[in-house]
Amino acid sequence: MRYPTLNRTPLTTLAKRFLGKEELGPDERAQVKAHLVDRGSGDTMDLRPLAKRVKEMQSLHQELLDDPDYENDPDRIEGRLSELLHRGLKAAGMPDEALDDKDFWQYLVMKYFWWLVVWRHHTVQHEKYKQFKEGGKYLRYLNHEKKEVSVLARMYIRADLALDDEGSYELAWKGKLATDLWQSHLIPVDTGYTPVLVRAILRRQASQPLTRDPLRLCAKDITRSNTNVVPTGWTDEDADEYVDHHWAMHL
Amino acid sequence: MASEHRSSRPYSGLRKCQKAFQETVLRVGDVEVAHNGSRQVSPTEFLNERFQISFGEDRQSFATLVSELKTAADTHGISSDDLKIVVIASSTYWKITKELFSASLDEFTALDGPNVTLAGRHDRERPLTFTAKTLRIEAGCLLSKTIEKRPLRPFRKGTWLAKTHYAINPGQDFEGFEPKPLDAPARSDLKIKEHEQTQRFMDVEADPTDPATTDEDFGLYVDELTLRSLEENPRTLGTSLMQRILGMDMARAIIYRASKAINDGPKSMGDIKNSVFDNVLDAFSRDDKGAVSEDTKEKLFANVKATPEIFVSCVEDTLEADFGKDIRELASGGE
Repeated sequence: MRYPTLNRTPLTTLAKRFLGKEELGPDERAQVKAHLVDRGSGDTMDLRPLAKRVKEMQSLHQELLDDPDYENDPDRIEGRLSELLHRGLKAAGMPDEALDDKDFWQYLVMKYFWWLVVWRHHTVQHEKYKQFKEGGKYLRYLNHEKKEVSVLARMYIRADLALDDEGSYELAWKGKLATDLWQSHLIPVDTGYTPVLVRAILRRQASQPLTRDPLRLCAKDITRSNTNVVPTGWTDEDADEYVDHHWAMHL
Repeated sequence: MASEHRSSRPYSGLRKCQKAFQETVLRVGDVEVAHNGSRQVSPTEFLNERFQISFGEDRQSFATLVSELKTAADTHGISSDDLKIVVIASSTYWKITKELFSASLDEFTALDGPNVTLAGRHDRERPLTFTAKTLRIEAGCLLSKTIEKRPLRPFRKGTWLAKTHYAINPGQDFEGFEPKPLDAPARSDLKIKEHEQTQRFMDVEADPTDPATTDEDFGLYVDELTLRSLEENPRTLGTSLMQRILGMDMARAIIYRASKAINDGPKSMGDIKNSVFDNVLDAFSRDDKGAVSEDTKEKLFANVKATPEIFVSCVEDTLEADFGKDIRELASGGE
């Protein structure tokens, strides 16, 4: 399948040019399109289902910003929106070749998601950590290198891991204030190789949340215990028992 | 993760079966990967070559492995029905995991020989189709169900009695030092604004021996027009050579920066564990089956402290065998 890509050089140039903008307009989108390069062969990937989901994401984003349950929890908003990203890419029939191609993701982020990435990294508390400015380290959120840092990659992985056998993505946002949980204790470590274990942790954190420090210690214990098990064949019950065992020590 | 692979094994009587299991070798085409080893293959090999695992060098060593696994099971009073041998592949970026092989201990014992094909050219599980990042393959003998808990014996489903793992890098790993465009703002940030003809700049201000530092803290900058030209002409001899030379430039800068940090500290190998530079040392300390040799690593570490240029020359020596030939060809007017 043919799919669009944007390589690093135009990504870097365009991102620098667009600094200061909260959203890209038709002119900027045309500049992105001018650098588009198709890869792959055969039928062209139809991105219209994704574009439709992007509109839903923008509208849901606005709603959640005013929702008292979400307004101070940008990570939770990211979790809610991750479902729509995942569904949109699925509906667009994303081939594995594109999934695996960073330049495809770089095209997506510049074409559809500038608003989301800028918002996400201006929600931090301190001015000095706001990266979308001259001299800021903003490229790391756009260039799809580290999965826990690149906004789209971590959202896609988050939705993929949270998706349960019933087709629900709810665990992607069920827990509150879960930035550390996702970005430090699930996606970058071995726990992330086992969705059934990830979901058990998310269920437990939603029902009996640990605060930051106990959660960090508990996650460390789980990570250490993971060196003794290969949990790939576990059921929900197996994973719940394992997580309960560790959780109980940190309550 | 710094603590991720720290293992605590509260079980007794498993040393011999672990030792026998460590003889297991993974093959990707003709490339062999040993216990806990890591190898690089080309994307074409990765996508087309057969993946095969050998549970021992021959029938005799396979029989020894089976015997050791049964002995370990007997020692702990574990029924052979409660054990299985699995091989699992995981895409390290996308966290997609698939089981490539699974057999009960009895089925495993009845195998025709030590070799099991995990993937052929046309039947590959998803993790074996992603070339952008390292593939991890784990093989182990583990409990297929939870059994009664007793001191010093494994009891939880999935707990392994013996295990090994391999890493296959299809050569397109994008967490390296990719060149960034050296344009006017970058020149200004790097304080070389007045040097408009500078073609390369290595930003190695960060300490590569500090475990908190990541690849992103370093920058390999190439003049923006030059970089565009390299990207638009990826298959020419000139581009191929420039890429290798740039890689060497960056390696040299990192090595000298690390040497200074180690001597200023001073720092031991333990102090730099899991740092960017520790990974560099690992990469150049692997034997022909991809396993890290601690002896080699210690020698390299000593070299970096005392004579960093020796390590630089070691790095250059590992470049493709055609490096010298390509330089000579270009010098004599080849394209």
